[in-house]
Amino acid sequence: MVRVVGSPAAEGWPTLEKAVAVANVLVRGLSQGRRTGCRPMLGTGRGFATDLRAVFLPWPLPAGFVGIRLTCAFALQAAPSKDLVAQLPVAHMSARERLALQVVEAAEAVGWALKCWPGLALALRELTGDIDPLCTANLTAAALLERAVSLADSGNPLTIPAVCGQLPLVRSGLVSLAARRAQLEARLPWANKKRLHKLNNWSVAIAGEGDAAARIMGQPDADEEEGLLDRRGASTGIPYPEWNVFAQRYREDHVRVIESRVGGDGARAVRVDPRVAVWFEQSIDRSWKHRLEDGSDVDFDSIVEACNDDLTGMGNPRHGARFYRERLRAARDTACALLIDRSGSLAQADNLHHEVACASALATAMDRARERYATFAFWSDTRHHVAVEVLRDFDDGAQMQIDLKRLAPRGYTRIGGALRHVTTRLRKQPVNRRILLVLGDAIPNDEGYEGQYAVADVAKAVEEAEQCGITIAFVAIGAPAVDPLADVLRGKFHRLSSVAELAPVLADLHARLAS
Amino acid sequence: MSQSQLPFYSPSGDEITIAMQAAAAGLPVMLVGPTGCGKTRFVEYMAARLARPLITVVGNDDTTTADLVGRYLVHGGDVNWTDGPLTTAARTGAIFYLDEVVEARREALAILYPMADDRRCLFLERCGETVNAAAGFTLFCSYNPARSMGFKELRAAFRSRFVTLALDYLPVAEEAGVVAREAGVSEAIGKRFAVLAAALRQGIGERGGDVPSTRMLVSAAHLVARGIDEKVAREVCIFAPLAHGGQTPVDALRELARALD
Repeated sequence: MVRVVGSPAAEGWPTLEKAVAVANVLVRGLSQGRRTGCRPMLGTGRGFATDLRAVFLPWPLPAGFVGIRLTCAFALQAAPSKDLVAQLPVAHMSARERLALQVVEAAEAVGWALKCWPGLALALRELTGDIDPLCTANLTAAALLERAVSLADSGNPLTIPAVCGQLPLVRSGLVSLAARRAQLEARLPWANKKRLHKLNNWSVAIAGEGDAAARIMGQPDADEEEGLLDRRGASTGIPYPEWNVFAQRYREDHVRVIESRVGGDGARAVRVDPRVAVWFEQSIDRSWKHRLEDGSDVDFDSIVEACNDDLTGMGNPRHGARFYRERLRAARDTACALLIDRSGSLAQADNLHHEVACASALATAMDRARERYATFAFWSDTRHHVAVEVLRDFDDGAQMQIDLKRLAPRGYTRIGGALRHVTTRLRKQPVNRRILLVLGDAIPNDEGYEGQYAVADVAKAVEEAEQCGITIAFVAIGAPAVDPLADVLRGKFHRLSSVAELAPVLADLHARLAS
Repeated sequence: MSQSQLPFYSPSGDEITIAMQAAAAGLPVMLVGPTGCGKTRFVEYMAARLARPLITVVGNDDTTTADLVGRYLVHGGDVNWTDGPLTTAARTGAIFYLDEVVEARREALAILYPMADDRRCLFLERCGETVNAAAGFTLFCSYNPARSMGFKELRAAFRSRFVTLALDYLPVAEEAGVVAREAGVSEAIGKRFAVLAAALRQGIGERGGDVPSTRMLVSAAHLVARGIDEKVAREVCIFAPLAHGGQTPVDALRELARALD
């Protein structure tokens, strides 16, 4: 018997994250291309269903739905008859008609699954005992509806097995408008002055526990024009622009970065993975190495010297001909900035603990390797106050300690402004290569800074840094349900679950630097 | 060359005609495609069709200019120039294939610039010689776009010199034929592997990580031809290699395979 590599087959899904990953593969893989853009959506109170844009499944999974039985449920949601149901005006049908439609459709779905996925046959028959599978060629939505209506009229009792799922959520215009409004208001309380008044100026945490008690300090900007009138006094802080993806232009001087120095005390070093420590000692740039036994070029100096030695009989006895030279990695002329997220959302789970472990491992390694580096921590409270705290500056000699106390979570995460500020700081360093390591949960979130807007701004700030020749790596911690930056920063983004995974990230960074 | 001596290649479009005409016009060809989709086989096929010798170099981080054009070697008191593979190909009019071109160092690629445009010549800086490419010399390069994404990128000036052919895995029927023919198994077994691969690729999606390659399917079919059970063959040739990549959720893929049995 061949040992199965990796984890055993999905007999039970331990975590939500894992379930989403597995569901993602199954939904798309079973559909023969019909659900390519589909996302799995899990939630309590849901049943198996699809509206063609998402495939819904209940979470936690109902008893018995593991392994192949679950695959059956996904296969039925991938059936072509589901695409036909999506064309029907389900919202305007009676409850019995809807049930009849489900029964009629289930027969077609089971028939299709049996035909295309023979491996599911046994489990499917067991799960859908009462259903007579059909597999009608060239089935149309109208034919399906006709069958459903006649079945509904027949008066027979109608039942549907759980594995066949439900009809997609009813979407009529009115319902969806109201839902949209509720959603907007819940997400953007500051977008509406009346609502903000009702909220009594309490800021709302979007991720994590946040700073629930912190009042919004600046005036909420209802629109961009108003944003120009900063009643809190525009003089504090260093202005930085922010990218407005919707308008496709920068909002000049939109954020204020306030840099402060945090006093350091002499510190003890932590234990570091030797691979991490070694990385900062590796050379990145190449220079000529002479007197090699083999190389891409002839080293004429050593030949001339050797000939002279032969003629005069003077030189040292040679142990071999070393007449070549080669460009080898020999130098490391780098500056590294470590930017640590200390926003409120880090308070979740073990995230802060991991972050501190990673940060101190990096700092200790850099100290040991005498790397030129600086450590910054950042948090924000609206665009008027993006705090960047200097824990260790480039020219500081003393070792620093990064501990939980120093990084106590506070405020929100306006990454763009902090990134731009550290980029500016890093650019001033007189070195050949510049590295920026960002450490955090990688969920941007601040007042008016979330979703697509925030992701686009972070991507823009990263792009700006790269245009300045800075090599960036995002080291993300924790396991959020959504990972908005992972996609846009592909290749530069690494999500770790422990400090032990730091070494491969650095190896990857090295490959990019030394290319 | 008779048809029977040609390496087997199953075209996905009109890439053979295009490459033949590009070679006739003296244009270099860039092959872009996922790993194990038949890039190397295509170049072997083209070399046979064009009846030219094939010289292959695989680019890596340590590939230097000297590794391509050649260098001086010291023999006793003498220093002699020795041609590298690219120079040899240029002098003899061979097909030169630089695989994994993205991995090669930029300074090594710089030597290819005059070779890849209408100058078709090689400047041997170290011995002060200019080698004009002999008739029949054709430059092929290839890389895997998924692997290089976000890391190294080829410069626009370099890319613009090439006739670029995007290769991908074949549709199920053709891939089944390739698997059956390459491994000497029945069409039915070839079809089963091809259908499985199609489902797995759908499941993994475009950004989901490594997908099974035609090469994997052929390896698995080879084992089946030698009496290994199909399920074991697909485990050791498809799932296990994907599992070690880390990103692909392999147990979900096994579920997909189970649904097909």
